[in-house]
Amino acid sequence: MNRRDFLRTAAIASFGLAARRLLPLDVGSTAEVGVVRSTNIEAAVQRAVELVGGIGRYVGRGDIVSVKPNIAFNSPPQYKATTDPVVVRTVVDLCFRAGASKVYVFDRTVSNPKLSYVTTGIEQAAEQAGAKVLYVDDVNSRLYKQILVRDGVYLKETLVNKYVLESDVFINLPVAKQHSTAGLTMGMKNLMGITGDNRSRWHWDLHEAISDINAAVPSNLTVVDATAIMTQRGPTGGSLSYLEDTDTIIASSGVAQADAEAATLFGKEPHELGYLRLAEQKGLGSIASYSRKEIAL
Amino acid sequence: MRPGILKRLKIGRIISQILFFTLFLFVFIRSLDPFAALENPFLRFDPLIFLTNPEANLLVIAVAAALVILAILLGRVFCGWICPLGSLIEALDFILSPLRKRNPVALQRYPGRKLLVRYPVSLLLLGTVLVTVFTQAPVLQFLHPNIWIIRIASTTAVGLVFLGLLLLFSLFSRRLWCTYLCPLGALYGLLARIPLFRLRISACSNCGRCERCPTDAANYRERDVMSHQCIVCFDYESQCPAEGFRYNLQRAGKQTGDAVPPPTPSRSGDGTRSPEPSSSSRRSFLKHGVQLVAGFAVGGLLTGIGFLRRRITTLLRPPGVVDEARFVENCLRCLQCVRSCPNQIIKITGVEHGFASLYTPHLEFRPYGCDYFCQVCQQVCPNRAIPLQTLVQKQTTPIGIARIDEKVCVVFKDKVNCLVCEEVCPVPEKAIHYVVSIETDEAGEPLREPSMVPEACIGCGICEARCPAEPVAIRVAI
Repeated sequence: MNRRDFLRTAAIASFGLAARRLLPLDVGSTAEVGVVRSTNIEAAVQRAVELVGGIGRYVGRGDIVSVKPNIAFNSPPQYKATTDPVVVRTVVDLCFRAGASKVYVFDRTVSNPKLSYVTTGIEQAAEQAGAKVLYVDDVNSRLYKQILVRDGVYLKETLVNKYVLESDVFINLPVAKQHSTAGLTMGMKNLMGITGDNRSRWHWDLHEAISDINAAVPSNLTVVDATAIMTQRGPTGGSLSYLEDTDTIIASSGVAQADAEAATLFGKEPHELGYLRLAEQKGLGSIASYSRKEIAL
Repeated sequence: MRPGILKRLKIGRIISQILFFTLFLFVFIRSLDPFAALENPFLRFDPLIFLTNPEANLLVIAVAAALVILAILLGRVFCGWICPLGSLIEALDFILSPLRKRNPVALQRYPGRKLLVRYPVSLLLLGTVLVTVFTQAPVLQFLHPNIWIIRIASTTAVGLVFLGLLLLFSLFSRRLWCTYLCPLGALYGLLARIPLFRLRISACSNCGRCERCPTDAANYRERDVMSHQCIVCFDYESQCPAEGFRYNLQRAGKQTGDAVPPPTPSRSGDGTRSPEPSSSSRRSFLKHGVQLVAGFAVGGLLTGIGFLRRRITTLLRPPGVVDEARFVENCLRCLQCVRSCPNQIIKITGVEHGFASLYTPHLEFRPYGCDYFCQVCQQVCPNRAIPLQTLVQKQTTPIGIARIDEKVCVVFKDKVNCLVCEEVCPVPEKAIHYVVSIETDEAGEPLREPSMVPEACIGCGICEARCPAEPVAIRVAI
């Protein structure tokens, strides 16, 4: 039994849930990355998902889907400190079109959740598309569940959002930003919003913590909002001058590969990022070689 | 006056009370939603509160003046028809009436009542308030009815104690607070002494039904309705068998022609005249004047007493407050900001910072800091003690300044990379930068040491709220 099978068994055993798509269908060198350059965000998201197999490959009829955008800060959408509401709306839309029975949208925010959800426009966008928006700032046993992190280096166990654990599909919707300690924050770092731990502490060994949580809780599909990337003073930003229009949407079945692709937009090599190097070691697939398709609309 | 008209006036009053109470609740509930915050109109537009903050705008002056004119024209209409606390008290009185009726020492049957009627404490309190509103001694703050009702609605401990007190009052008398204690009622009562539209007794069958007047204003023995106490509620007037109540214009210094002479105390004759009502009213006016002046003296005393003088506090005040002295003077201690702050970081100050700061709000940055885009406390502050700024002003007015304690910060102390403070700093240019050290952490990464840019810091405390060190290594102070 290899590590992955072990993890899968352990996950099914410990959650006792329908975890049939808890792990990505295919990761590693076979992962596909779809890159779409366009100013039309909605079309770009749809095409990017098509490039990685279409939404039907990830979401089945009757599935319960958890969507985790970056809603960390109470910051208006134009500053791009949070995921674009159009990206959220489009992805929720796609899930329902694929037959999802329920879609949950949430993030454990840094700022006040209500302020953040509303100001970023994500609450309205998600609800418009029919998703249920959850406030998950209150860490309690109704919302969070302790899981063991097998092979975890920094995290041995961690509290994880139950909706992520109990959904059939987990979709990661980060926004790409500069970040002093992590280097860049994209899909892998976005998973800090599913933990109930004191995540400020994670910064003391951030790269290990990020790669541990991603190895423990894989994202089935990652869609990176890189329509405009925050190149400095992240992750809060707060000035349009910190943004660079990149008009890019990246979709991938592998979170590490999505991040590797997004890193290049910042002019960085994926290996420069500690958590991406560790992700490769922890079995999240190669960050150097993956099949990619790119189109421009 | 025909009973029908008086009945309709009573129904009109109850509808008016329900409307204004609903308005109070509507504004209060709205102010709990950070995206719908409103200021409380019962505090924003108030003649007594206006005195504490004469910088108020034209609209405030206009409405406060309108309330004053209303009292001069029609009497204590505010108390009977508008005041939300008055309506609450009336509801409590109604609910507790069976208990009150069984209370052997209820005020109605208690001899001390006469003394209270003659010397209502409210005038003394009004006198005290009229002096202290111009100083830092918080007196009005603990006597104004509609500050109390916000504290009650906020379910703060002190508000619930006051509610308990009101419940207790209701066991003894109706409208006890309004009649004998409320300084706002006393102010409107003073204004109602100028005789214009007033309720009067013009005919009487000595049945004594109007003795049930909730504010002890109607006195059939002297054929008199004490206008400074009457809240024009029309509760019993329609039941007068002689249809003797009149609510109409009364000219100064002269009893209107149709007033019947009061009976002699023995009630034996009917033609004998009792002492002139005008002289008795002059006497009461004098007595009341003495009380008011005594109140001025108490106010002066309170202001003068050392313990009420301001102690310089090092408290962090809500965003936008730059003048501590002015803030302490203007703050109504209504605790609305405490209740409305979405981050729940505005806390109530106890006596440990001196009596002048009692119940003023201060900030404690856990679990959040003061949100960069939030102005809720400024929007709900009814007296603008927390100034209402533009968003840009709010984002650039310092609450304090953050300082890093290098003895506690893990980067300096434990050689661990962290930088949460830099990460969460919401100021676009970041008030916390980092310096790459020649030292490295365990993994061989160079240490990035946080470093303050004091001139950029606005003291929002988000860094303090998120600092993972124990104890917190970055703190905001004045």
